[in-house]
Amino acid sequence: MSSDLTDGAASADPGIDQLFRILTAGPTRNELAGERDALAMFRANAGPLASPAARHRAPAAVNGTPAVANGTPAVAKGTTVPIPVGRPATEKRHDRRVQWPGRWSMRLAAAGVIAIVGGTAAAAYASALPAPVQDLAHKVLGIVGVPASHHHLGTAGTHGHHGSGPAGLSGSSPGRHGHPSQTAKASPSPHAHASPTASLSSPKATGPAVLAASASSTDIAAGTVPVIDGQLTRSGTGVKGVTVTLVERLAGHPFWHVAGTGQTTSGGNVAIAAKPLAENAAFRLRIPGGVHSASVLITVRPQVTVVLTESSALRDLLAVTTQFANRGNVVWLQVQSASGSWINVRSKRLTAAGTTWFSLSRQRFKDKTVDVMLVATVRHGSASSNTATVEAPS
Amino acid sequence: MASQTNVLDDALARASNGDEAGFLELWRALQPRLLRYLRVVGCDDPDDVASETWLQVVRDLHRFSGGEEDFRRWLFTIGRHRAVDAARARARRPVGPSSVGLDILADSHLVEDQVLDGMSIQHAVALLTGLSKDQAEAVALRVIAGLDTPDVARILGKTSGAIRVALHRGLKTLAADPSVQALAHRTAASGSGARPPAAGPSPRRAGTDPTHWSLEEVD
Repeated sequence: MSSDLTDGAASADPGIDQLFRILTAGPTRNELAGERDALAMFRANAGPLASPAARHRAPAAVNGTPAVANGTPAVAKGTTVPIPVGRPATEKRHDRRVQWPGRWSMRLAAAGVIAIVGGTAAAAYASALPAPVQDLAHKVLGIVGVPASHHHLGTAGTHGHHGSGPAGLSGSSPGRHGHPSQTAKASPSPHAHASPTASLSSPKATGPAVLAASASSTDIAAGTVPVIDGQLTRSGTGVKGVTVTLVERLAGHPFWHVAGTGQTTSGGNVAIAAKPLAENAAFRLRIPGGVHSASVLITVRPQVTVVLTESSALRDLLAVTTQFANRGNVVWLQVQSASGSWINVRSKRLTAAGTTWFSLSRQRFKDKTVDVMLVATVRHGSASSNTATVEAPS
Repeated sequence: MASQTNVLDDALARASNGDEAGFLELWRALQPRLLRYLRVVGCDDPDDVASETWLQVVRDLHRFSGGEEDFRRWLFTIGRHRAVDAARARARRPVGPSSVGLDILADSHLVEDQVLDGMSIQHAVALLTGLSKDQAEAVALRVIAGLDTPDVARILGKTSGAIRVALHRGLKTLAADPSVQALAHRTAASGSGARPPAAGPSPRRAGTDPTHWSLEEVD
């Protein structure tokens, strides 16, 4: 392989070759663990693919390469590959403009003026102008219904965030800057101020939105319902009436799934319960516009139960049963020392039924307190069983 | 990778038409390499970033045209941007103790899986992460993603010459690593795979010039 990099030069290093073979080796089991989720994601998002109309509507090809704008690659650090839709920006347009007759230039200039004036008027109607400009527009056009800046925004200090709705929050998502598709989604709708999330434009709603998530308990018994608490704030003030989506990513699965939704209260708070958890999971809260909270990891502890029964005059049988553990998981037989600490004695793997057993010599374990500890895996945390005491041989 | 081209071209065409089997073929072929690349560039949660990458790919696939190589270049470009986004997000939102990534748990506790699933790949990836950032990313895109030097240069926003220098230096550093030397010795001892050491003098063997890889040879 290194000889590929070196055009087959004789200086290829066998160690490097071997290293590159390992790096390009076939997939491991873990690397393909998310196949089912990938397929589900494809099914959920591939709608336009099956639609010939959609394909026809977007004939412009990504062509596997970053879009080229003005002759230079449009790839920049931290941005997504721009995907040109429709006619790519080329110099053809410039050539055509040069060939336009003079009257077309005049018409174009007139159209530009109309567009600017019209756009300003529209923005004034939508109260989307900075407060001083909005007030000026109100004085001039108030007779036809243009509101003053305070009509919609209350007090001063909120201009620039007007009518943002959920889309206006997208700026607080650092991961989305420069993302063309996300930017398109974040474009303020002309009706944004009428959306249910208009309270984002409350008098104190300035600055970036902050969505925090937490859980009262990040360590729960398997089968328990996790509740994720969230708070949506702007400049420390709660934002009311925003629909928050709880997304969940189960351990070992690469994709996020919707686990529930809720609406923020007047304090910006929301509490959303997910389904009972059988394995570790990460949770995030999301709001429209690409803003999401940091992940909250919930560790699930399976139930482990031991029952000590007499199997013969000299030996006891310690039967281990688990719930929500998996086949092959490791359990340790532990003995409590005189100091109270637990010492690992021997280990076994769980069967497909989540059970196993230990045979204990009464002589060796006499009067000892034992338990079984399930070793944590990526799917669950560790868990200890109830205890049992081995009696001395009769 | 080249031997897969025809198969993946077909899979790509089918995936573009909404065929699930075609998509799965693509995913199975490229997901492992995407994950390895993301690990090399220091992603805290490569699974998460990879899923974001595939999500964007699926959403925009209907607007894609090109062959398997073009797709690979597109996929890794998106992957890199998602990794940069994730790093920025992490920098702005310091992670509390409750949001430790699942992969940390995986690394800590799935010992048997790690052994069974390829410790050697993790070790190899770790070797790349020991390089400087530029070198590691250049080598990862060139080797793991299988892109050619001009494509790597385009993705990293550098000149092809700069990439060649980074590759050259990265390879030199890797060749000097005791683990890679051990690999070479093991290969030579087993008599399989690469040529025996005597046939291809390593830069690190006595009597050879450690800088004899010319920049022209690196591409």
